[in-house]
Amino acid sequence: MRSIFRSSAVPLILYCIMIGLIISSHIELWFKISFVMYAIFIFYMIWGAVLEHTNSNISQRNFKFFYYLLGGAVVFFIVTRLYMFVRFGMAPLGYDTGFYLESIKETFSSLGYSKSAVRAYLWVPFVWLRVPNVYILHGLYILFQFLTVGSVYILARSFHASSRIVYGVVAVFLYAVSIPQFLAFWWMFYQMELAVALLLITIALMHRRSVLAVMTGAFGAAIHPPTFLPFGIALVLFLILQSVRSLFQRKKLEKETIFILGLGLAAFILVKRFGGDFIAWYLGGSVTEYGWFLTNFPEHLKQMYTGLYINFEIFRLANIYLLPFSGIGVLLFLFGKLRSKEPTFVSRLLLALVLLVVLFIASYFPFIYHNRFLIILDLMLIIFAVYPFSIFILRLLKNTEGQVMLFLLLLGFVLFNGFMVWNQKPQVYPDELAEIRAIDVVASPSDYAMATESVYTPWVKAFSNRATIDPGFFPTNQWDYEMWKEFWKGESNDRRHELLQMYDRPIYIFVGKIVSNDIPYRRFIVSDPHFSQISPHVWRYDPNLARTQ
Amino acid sequence: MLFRILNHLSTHKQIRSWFIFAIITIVVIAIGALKIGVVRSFNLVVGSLFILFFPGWFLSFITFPMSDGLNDESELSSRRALDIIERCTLAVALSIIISSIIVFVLYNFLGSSKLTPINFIVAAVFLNSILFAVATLRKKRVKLCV
Repeated sequence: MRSIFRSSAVPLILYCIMIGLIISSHIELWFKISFVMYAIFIFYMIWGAVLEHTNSNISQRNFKFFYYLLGGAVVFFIVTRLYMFVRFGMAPLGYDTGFYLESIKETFSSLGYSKSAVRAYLWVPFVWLRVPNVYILHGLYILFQFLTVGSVYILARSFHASSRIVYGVVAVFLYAVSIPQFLAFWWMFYQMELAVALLLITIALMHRRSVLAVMTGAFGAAIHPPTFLPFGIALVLFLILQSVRSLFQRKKLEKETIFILGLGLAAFILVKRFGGDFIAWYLGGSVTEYGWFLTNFPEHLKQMYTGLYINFEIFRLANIYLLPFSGIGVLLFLFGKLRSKEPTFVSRLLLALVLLVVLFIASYFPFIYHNRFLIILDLMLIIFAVYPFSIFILRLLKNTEGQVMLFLLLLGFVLFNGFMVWNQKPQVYPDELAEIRAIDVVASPSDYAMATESVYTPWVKAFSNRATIDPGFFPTNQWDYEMWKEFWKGESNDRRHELLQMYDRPIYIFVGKIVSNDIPYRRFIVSDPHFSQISPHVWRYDPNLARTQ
Repeated sequence: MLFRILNHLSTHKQIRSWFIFAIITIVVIAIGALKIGVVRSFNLVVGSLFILFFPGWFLSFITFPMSDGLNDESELSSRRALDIIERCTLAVALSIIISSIIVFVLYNFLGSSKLTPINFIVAAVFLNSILFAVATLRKKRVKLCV
């Protein structure tokens, strides 16, 4: 043990610094100590195995183990992705469900309105097949989840660092138990999940020198530009690094690098030609007005432009068991300890490392949508964790004690994620959803629906089928941010009446479960005689009637 | 006769794969039929395959004509061949893109009046046939070379 630590002093010091940075100051001391012990143990096992070259042969029995691991990971993945639907009904996922359902309704009109709705092209045939909108959305979304698993597998196998099956299977397992990936699924990032899968496939196809990479890259960038933005930056940096490297080594650029250069240019031209309008629309408005940094945005827009996902602190805690592996993966690459038969292996990992660094910067500093980049950062951390993790598994498989320890470790990963999945609640519960749908039945077509909290906006809009008043998203809203604050927190109920009487039609107000009973405006709605309760969370307010009384 | 067919099925790997695929498709259609009727279920399953699987599957054989096993470690397999998981993933990803491109082309180059179910079916079947023909030729040529 001492010899391993002595011969690897520099990487160990760097690793310890990394571990020190990973540990959050918010966690308890006993947890910090256990984490440090876990991290040191992992370093000892993996670095020792690499120095001893113990992973060269994979026995038939080990192959069998990896097949079982693949099967287990796939089953666990399916359960975690379908569980929410089984427990919470047809719309159990996050914020964007309502917006996308609304978008499917307008498929043909949006195609007519603008040629930039790339996502709508795939919905058209299913609308013709008379599939209900909610099934189109969730069916395709689940398919994208499988696509992402497959793309993680393809990318991992493309690196070909060790045995290809081992690399692919471990990547699938780490993806299946990743909490950030489950949360990304829960938030319902329809476009981004497809774009992420296409991004990984694009990188894998680039390494295999296939022209299909242009197709997947251009389509992915057109469907969700922010996903491909860090990759574009990483690609430029990578090409500069490769050019400098070949200059210093006085060698020609590798064929793969030249191919990537050509491909990047082709994809850029295609995206600009066919997706230019959409990208300009997607990034244009807010960026031209406030710039790329969140710090320049007005207070009420900041939350939306963070990317509406978990923040860096939660990400760090959710990934705490994976980060030591990723850290060792990066160190193994930097210290030249990764071996492969592939001649361009170093270039491939260099691109991955550059992308990892770009994503870290983009998600750590307050750029717009910075929280969303954590999803891709997590995938790159998984890619770097795969090699050390497979060495770790192969080393533990050698004897019975190791096998027991491995079983406990894998079980720990599964339970950690399973616990998270089990406790994950939907944004809108089935009974609330039924109440919103009931608005469509009881209200006349010209009436308004109202969401008092922005989290309910997409749901109320999509399921009530009414023009929706909400805090700031839809044009039906006539209040500015100050007026909303008066409605939410103000002292005067007369002022609340004044505000509601700015509208000329009956309003069906949905006040969901997240609004507690002691919130002033809820107390007002519940106690004021001008409101009639339609269902436990829906009240009707007629401004004309209230004005005359 | 039946024995001979079954024997042929069990020995020929490719036919066996397609046979299993057909059985799964029929089972899915049958399950769907219980809820939405045979015709709609058939339309939905076969339509989905033509939208989300076949175009990419054929295109993947054009660009990567060689296949390898899950634990194949040969040098050849590292860049130009795909295993079954990789091929299925690529098939779905490419199909999503191709189907979107068909709608895009019908809408943008032929006008919104041409964006009809019939035109889409004709375009999809035509494109799938071409891709199938090219993929078959490519596979044959690669087999001859190997």
